[in-house]
Amino acid sequence: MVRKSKYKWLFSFLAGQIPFLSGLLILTLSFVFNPVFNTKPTLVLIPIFFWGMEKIQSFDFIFVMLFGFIQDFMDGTQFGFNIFMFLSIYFMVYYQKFFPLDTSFAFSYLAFTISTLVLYLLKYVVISSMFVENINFLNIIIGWAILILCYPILYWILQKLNLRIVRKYNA
Amino acid sequence: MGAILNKLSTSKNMKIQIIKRLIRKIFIILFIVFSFILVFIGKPDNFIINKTSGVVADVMSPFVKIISYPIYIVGTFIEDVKNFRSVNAQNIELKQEVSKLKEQLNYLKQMEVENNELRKLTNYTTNGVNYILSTRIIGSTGSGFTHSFILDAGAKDGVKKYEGVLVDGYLVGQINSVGNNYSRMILITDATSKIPVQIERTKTRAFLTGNNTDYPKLAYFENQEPVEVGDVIITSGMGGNLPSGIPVGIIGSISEDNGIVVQPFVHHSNIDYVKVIKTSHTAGIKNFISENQISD
Repeated sequence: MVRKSKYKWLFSFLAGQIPFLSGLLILTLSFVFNPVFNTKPTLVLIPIFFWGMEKIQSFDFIFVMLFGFIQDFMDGTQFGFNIFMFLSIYFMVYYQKFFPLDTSFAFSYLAFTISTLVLYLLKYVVISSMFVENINFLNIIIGWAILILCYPILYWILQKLNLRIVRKYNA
Repeated sequence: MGAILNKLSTSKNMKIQIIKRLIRKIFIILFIVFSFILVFIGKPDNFIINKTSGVVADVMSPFVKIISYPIYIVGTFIEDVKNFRSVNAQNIELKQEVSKLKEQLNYLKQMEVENNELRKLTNYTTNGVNYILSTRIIGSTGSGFTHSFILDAGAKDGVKKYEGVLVDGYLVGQINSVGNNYSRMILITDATSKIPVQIERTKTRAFLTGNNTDYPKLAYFENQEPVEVGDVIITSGMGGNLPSGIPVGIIGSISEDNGIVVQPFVHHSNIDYVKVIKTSHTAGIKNFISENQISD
């Protein structure tokens, strides 16, 4: 009993870092694999959406900005757009009160699908019209479609982490 | 009395919490607006952004390398198992290829000697000496908007921006940003890539522009002589960043709708090890200065 309470603060701290570390791991993993059909999905949008939806206090918007910062510099696209995308989706999911996203997978899946589609289209319109010609629209749609297909798998993994570790030690 | 004080302090705490949440919300909105404005004012070719890009690559790339290593090992193992089944046939094929290459090498050595003699006779000067640095691709940072890879070589290995990247002697890309230990290259198929090239047969100059598909196109094409499907595209050396004469691809199709489409010799899915070609202009510049007696 004494040993449990002695290290509870440590477990609680480590459990609180899981949202950030899971996002960082997924971000790093996305740089490892080669493109499929000349495109790659921005997988880090999934943990940002998930942990924002769960309103985890230890996963602050500073971490979201850091992910956007890293993605911007590693991608080499117009600096600032990934920060804008990630913060927008985090803000939307954290502060919205209309849909019970954290209680229903179907709601969260639909919200993720629509919000990411809007952001991908906005990115395509802004970058192709103002900065880089010749961007293939089909590649953008395929990248978005792969992201949507990956959502259930990553959602399941993150939900397991959330229920078994994060909520348990931060309840 | 105690209950009233308790209630007052609780409502005070609640007010503080509400104010904190409001400030946080305002900060997030401000950062969203600021980052959107940054998209329009931040130039990709800015010195600070280039330098920071190199630093971020240096920080992230070791993690990418560590995570990609098991995948690389598994991929190599699978490839070795596949190759094991055909090792005998491959052996015979490789022996024949080595024999042909030896003959070509002897011929090229003779050509080199003859070339050097002719250069002496005509006082011909080249634009420099090419050096090759071999390195491995450790990750891909591409998305639908970019086609780029991270290389396991950086400034400490002598890599510089805009240097060409080759696979099997064919151009596949250019260095885009350089960190101390790692660098990023964009493929010739990237939408921001514009390589000065020429048609080998007619010497007509053009630019090869990427579009994030497998088939870049010829643009700003000087209509001097008609081109044909199957014409080989090589680098023209214009701009001084890439040496001339490096094969890039062949003309795959010509049409009014799609323009002149080029099929690169190397597909990006087959890239594992690359060579960075480095052109030294120092020798050429020193010769120019001494020949023209230019003083400081």
